Amino acid sequence: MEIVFEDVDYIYQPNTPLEHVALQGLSFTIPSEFFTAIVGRTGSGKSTLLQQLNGLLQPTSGTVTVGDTRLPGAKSKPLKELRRRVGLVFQYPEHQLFEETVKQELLFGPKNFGLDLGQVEAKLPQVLQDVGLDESFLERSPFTLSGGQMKRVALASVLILDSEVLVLDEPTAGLDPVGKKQLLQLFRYLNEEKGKTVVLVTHNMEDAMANADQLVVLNDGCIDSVTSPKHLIEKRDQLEAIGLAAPESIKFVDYMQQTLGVNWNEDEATVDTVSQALIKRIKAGANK
Amino acid sequence: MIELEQVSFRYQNEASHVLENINLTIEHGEWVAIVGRNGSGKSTLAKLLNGLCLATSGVVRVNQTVLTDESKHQARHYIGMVFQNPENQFVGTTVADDVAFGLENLAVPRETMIKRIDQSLEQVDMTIYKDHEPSRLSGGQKQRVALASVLAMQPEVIVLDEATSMLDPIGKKQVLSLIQELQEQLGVTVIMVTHDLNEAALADRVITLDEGTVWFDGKPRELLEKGDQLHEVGLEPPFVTKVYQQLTRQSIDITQEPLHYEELVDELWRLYLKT
Repeated sequence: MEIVFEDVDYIYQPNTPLEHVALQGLSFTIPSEFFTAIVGRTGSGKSTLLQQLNGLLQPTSGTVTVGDTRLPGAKSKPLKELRRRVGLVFQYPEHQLFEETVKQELLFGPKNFGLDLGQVEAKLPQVLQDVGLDESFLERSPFTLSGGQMKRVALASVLILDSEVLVLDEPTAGLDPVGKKQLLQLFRYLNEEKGKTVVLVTHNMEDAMANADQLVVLNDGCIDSVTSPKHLIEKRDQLEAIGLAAPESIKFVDYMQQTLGVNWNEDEATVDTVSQALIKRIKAGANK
Repeated sequence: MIELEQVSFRYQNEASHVLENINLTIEHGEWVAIVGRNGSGKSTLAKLLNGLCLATSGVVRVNQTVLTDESKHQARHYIGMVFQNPENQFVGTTVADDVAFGLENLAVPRETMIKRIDQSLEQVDMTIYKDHEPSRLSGGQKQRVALASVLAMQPEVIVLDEATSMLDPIGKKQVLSLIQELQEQLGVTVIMVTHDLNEAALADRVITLDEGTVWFDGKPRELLEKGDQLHEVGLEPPFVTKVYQQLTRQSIDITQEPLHYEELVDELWRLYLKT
C-alpha cells in the first residue's frame, strides 16, 4: 500500500503557549512493498510522523494518503479499516499490554476488528514462533514477562492482524543482540517474502542502512533527504550535524584509510572485507 | 559500597528463580556494566539495589545497612535509578516540576533546589524544555529528563537500566561522557545495564548474567577475549572484536584485546607499519 505525504505540518497544542511545531512541510512517498527507514535525532519528529500513518494523529495542514484513504477527513469506518491495514508497534510496546494472558492479548485485536477467531487461533503458534516465543507463553500473564518478552508479545499482537503495512517505532530497543537480529530478519522476511510494506523508525544507522531500500532523514521536523543507504554513506560527514552517526564499520574504514593508508574499494564494510584490507596492507609492509 | 550475599529472587507465583545465589561486591566509585540476554535477570538485579525488589533469600547491603522494607527508603537517598522507559517515573506537569519532585521529598531548601534543577537540566542539554510537559517530549528527551531528575538528587550511586536505549548516537555519546565525568570527578558509583558491548567497554568492570547467575565478572577486555563464546549468553561481539579475531587467525597479533577500532588500528600501525 502506497503512502503519500503532501506538504504535511503537524502542530501540538496549537494556539496555546505550549504550541510546538513537530512536522513542517513534509512531502515524500513510501512506495508499496518497500522497506523504508525513518531516521533522525531524538525529537526530530519521527514518532509524530509515524502516528500520521494510521490516523492516530492527523495533519494540521497538508494531506497524508494511505492507499485510498485520505487524511485528514476520513470518516470513522474507513479510519478503523485503515488501522487494521496499517499495524503500528509503539516505542514502548509493553504499554499496549493489558489483558490477563498472552493469548487474550493476542486475540484482542482480531476480536475488535471482527476477524474469524477460529482462523486466528490456528495462526497463534506460527506468530509466536516468528517473534521468538513458544506456545507455553499463551497462558502466562504478560506482566510477569521480561521487558524483551513483553516487546515480542506486543509485536505478535500486531503481526496476527496480518496488516499490509507494518510500522515499527524503535522495535529493537532494549532487546539483546541475538533477539534484535532475529527480529530484523523477521521484518526483512515479511517485506521480501510476504510483500509487506515496512516502515522502521530508528536512530540506529546500522539497522537502517543494512535493511532499508529507502531512508527518510528527518531533521528538526523537516525532511533533510530521501535517499538510499549507499548515497547516505557517501554523505556521511553531514550526518553528525543532524545528530546521527555513520555505522561503526564505516567509521572503522575511514579511520584505517586515514591512519594506515589502506586501499579501499569494496562495496560493503563487513568483517571479511575490512580484515582482508588490513591484512593486505600489513603484508605490503612499512615502506608502502 | 554495595554487597550481595547469596541473593536469590523469585517473583510471587512464579516457579523459577530470576536470580540465584548471587555474590557481588561493588566498591565506591566503580563503573560497573551489567550485560546479558533478555530475561537473564539484569533489571531485577538493578531493582534489588534500591529495594524496588527485595531478595527472596540472601542479603543486600548498601553502605553496611541491610536492605529491608523499612530501610529501603533510606537507601534511595543515595541510589538514583534511571529506567529504560522513563515514562514510568514522570510525576510533574512540567519538566522542571518533575526534576523538583525528588528534591522536595528530600526537603532541599528552595534556593538550592532551583540551582540544582537548572544545573541538572543543563547537564543533559534540556534547559530550553524546562517549562514543557514531560509527556509531550520525544522518547530520547524523556530519558534525558529522567536522568536530570536523578542527577539533581546528587546520589552516590546511579543505576542506569538501559537508559541510553532511546537516545540518538550523538545524545548517547553526550550522556556517556557526562556519566564518565560524574564518575571521575565526583566519584559517583555507576551501575549500567546495557546490551551494547561498545558501551560496556567504557566501564571498569563488566558483570555478565546468564539465567540468573553470574557467567562472567571482570574487565571488559577479558570479556571480549571470549569471542564467539559470547553468543552462548546472547551477546554479540563488537565489529572490532570480530575483525581482530580474523587477524589473529592470520597470525597478525597485537599486544591486547582491542576495545575500540582506533585502538586496533593504532596498534597495527605501531607494531607492523611504523618505520
